[in-house]
Amino acid sequence: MNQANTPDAKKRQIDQKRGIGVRDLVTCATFTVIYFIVFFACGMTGLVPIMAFLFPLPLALVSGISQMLFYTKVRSFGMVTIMGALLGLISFLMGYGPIGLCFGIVCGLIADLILRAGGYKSLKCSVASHCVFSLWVIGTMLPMWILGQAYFEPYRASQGDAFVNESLAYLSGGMLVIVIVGIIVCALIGAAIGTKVLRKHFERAGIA
Amino acid sequence: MEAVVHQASPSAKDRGFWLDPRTKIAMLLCANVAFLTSGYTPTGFAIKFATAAVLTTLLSLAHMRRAAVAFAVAYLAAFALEVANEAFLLEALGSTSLAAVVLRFLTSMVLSFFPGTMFAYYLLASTKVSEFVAAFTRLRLPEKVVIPFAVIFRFFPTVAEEYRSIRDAMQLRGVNWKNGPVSMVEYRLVPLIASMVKIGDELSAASVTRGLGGPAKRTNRCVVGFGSADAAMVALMVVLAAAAMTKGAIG
Amino acid sequence: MAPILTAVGVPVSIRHVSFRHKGAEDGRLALDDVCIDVPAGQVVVLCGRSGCGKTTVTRLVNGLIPHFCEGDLWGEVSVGGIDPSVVPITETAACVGSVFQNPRSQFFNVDTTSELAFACENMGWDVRRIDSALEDAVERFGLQPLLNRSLFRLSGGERQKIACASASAHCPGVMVLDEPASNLDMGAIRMLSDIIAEWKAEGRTVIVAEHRLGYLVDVADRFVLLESGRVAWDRTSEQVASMSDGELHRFGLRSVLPVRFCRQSQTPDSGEPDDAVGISGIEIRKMRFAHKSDGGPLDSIGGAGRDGLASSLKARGVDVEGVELRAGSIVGVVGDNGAGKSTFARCLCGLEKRCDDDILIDGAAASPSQRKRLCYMVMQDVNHQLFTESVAEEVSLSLRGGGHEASKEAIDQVLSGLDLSDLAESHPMALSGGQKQRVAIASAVASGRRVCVFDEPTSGLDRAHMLDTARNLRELSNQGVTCLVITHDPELVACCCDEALFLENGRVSWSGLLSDMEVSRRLEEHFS
Repeated sequence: MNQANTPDAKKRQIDQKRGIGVRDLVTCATFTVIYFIVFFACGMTGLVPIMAFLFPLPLALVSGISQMLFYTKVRSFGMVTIMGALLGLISFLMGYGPIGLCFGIVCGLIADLILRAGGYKSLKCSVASHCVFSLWVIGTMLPMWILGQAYFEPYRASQGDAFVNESLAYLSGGMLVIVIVGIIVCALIGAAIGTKVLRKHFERAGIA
Repeated sequence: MEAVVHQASPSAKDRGFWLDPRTKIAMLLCANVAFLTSGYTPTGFAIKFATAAVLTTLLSLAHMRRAAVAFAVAYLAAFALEVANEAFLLEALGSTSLAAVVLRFLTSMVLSFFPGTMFAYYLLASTKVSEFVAAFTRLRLPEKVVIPFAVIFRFFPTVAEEYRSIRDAMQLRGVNWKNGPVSMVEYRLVPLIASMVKIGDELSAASVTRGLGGPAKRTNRCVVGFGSADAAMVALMVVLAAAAMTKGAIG
Repeated sequence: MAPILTAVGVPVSIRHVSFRHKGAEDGRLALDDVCIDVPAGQVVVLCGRSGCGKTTVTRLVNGLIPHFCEGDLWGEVSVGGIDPSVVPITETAACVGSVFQNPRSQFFNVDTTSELAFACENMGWDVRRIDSALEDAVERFGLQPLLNRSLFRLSGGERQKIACASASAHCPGVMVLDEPASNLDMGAIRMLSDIIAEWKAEGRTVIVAEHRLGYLVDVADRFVLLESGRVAWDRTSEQVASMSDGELHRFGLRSVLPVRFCRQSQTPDSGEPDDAVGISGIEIRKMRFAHKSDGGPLDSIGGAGRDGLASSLKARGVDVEGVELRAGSIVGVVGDNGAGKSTFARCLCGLEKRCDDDILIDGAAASPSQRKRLCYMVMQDVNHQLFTESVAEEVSLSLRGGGHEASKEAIDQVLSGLDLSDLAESHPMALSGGQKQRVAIASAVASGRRVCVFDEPTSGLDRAHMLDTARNLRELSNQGVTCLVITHDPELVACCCDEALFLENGRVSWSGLLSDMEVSRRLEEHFS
């Protein structure tokens, strides 16, 4: 350090507060809003019948951009859990049922644990976190699976056996596995894109 | 001076028909159950219509008449379409043809899913953020969730503002889908994220200088509490939901 | 009986304070041995060039430094006996109220009344006490018409008024304002000056960091000039009021006295300006547009969408006809907020599809979609219009859009024309405000635009940067581009505009060349 630049007065010791402060909470809110916008845009594709089950895939892909930036801003344990809880809460208030809330908290907690294991610096851990966190969406869809039988059974009279059997086939365990695997694959690609955008834009722009 | 205070904080009396946010949340849950499990039998439709009527009433009581009318019209239209489906359309189109599948999908969306979304819209549009905060505090949700929850609501209109500017900027630059879907997502999302992060930083600076996050237990000017209307509405919705679960599934 | 609420002004003292931002280049000190003493009840203005450290001083007082902005700190700060760098920032908040530059980012709530009560709620006051504080604020600042409104439906001036009332409602003894007038029009600035006078009358200590000094001369007690983190001088308000413009400008300060617009025409033949001979750049035969009254679905979420009152932001359609502007002229578009200046600009640039118009650009009729390619707007928040990862790429994108081949030479030519060659590989978002503006201009030049609209390009800029913007405008105009500048900045109008266009209620109430005595008189009246 340049000696001429150092003032004569006594340098002050400043102890920065640890834990989650207002700034971290606002950061959580900011990225939750961005995630939710992407969620909403992807949910819109659900109007095409098959996408009602597959919209988590583009979600995991596109949200990688904002999430990878978010993980660089996570400095203390619990921030991803808060984000999961917020997303769960909003989806609950929007009528997706309470299971999404539980999934949000659990996936967020696991993602937090992974990030902490990497000391909040490891890129690999961020990617893994994004994969786990992306799975929370399953919670908003699970009512359809759990209630699948009771849900489509009443259609038998009106809509015919073919429709009910077809729908139940979609809802079978196989589909669930496909969706989970799909989410993880898309989350990996999304995280890779997110990392690229992080390098290309946010780090150079001084935002990360 | 009294008048000033009253205008600043409407008391339970002069805010007209008012429900506690917790009541609305409970009603939302019941409405979801009622719409999703009631099925397509005559009893099921009766329950659906009763619940839809409650929703329409709530919307109009909350001064969202346009939404109420739009919802009622859409719902009746979907019902008419459903009846027509059953009566002759499905047969005419062939029950496995694409048109029939799309038609079935549409009517069941409007009859079973759309009301839930509409109910959520009622909940969100008729409740002030400070009411949510007060209700969540009463429900003993941790402050670390309640504070960002309030910020989220403040950010939604901000996103809309920012997005409009970005869209204008793209039009001015002549950037459109010809530049490829990846660029489109990138050009939209990157400036949006950048400006949201900046606004978030300024907002948190302003909030801490107004004492947010201090050791004092936050108070809330906004009064929430249950009244007779809350009890009546919850009872009504629970009955509807219970009826749907028993009658709907059997029927 | 409501408890009596009074703010008691406290002294602020800053002794031998130095501060270095975390990660500052070559260890540069933002503040270097600064000593400022403000007795209780005084109004002190901190002035100086951008980056001189005035914002840093305000942050020392409200505790954002060192609790929010990290860095190395030396020296002592005291606000009424407490040290904001030692006590938690939320404790400092009880005795220091802060108002910031950007009216859009500093409110936490969606509706005005909750925002006014916000600080009191955070302090854990009981509801009756909050209500009486609100009542007091409403009475003092005349906020009755703004209660229970959505903050998103208010104008910038109204938002700033709410921010001031909200920062002072919990009766802090010290008010700290960081460039509060940057984004405001003349009316709102007068309002701000009244608010500061009110605080002074209550006995509060007020510290304002500001570029625009004119509105503060009557209310302030002292002006402190900072230069590169050091106190250069500390003068009374009378001394500053008697300084000449030239002297102020030498210190990088904006004028204090009302700006004179009357001047000789700069063209050699200083007689009658021959606008009849000049080539027509823009001719607006007709432009009619009315806003639909809707806010979009997202605005209504959170119960904030339905405020019955017609806000000042609403219903500002435009109805303009018979305006002709010379090619290559710089036209200042002035008028109060809500007069329709932005809508006028949006219609001109073809961004409003429902605009009923008949407009000629460079003598040829241009439909809205053609105008989108002929006109460009440099937005107030330039960040929105920079998309790519480098300055060169930004220019190249515009060249491609204009149908040209994006050759290296073409890019270099545009960049060197705007003095951006050194920054070619930098990320646009990492640049300073003035540089970003130049990049936006470069992309307009690269895509061969004939008209360039600037939306308040100098809000929050010091004199040197304002002159930079003026130079950029001149450069564009020399290339034959017609420039329109929406502005509240009289000095910018005085130093670069050729013509002025005054909008009122969506109509042009007068317009003309600046060399016209009548026009300059009216401008002086508007900006006084």
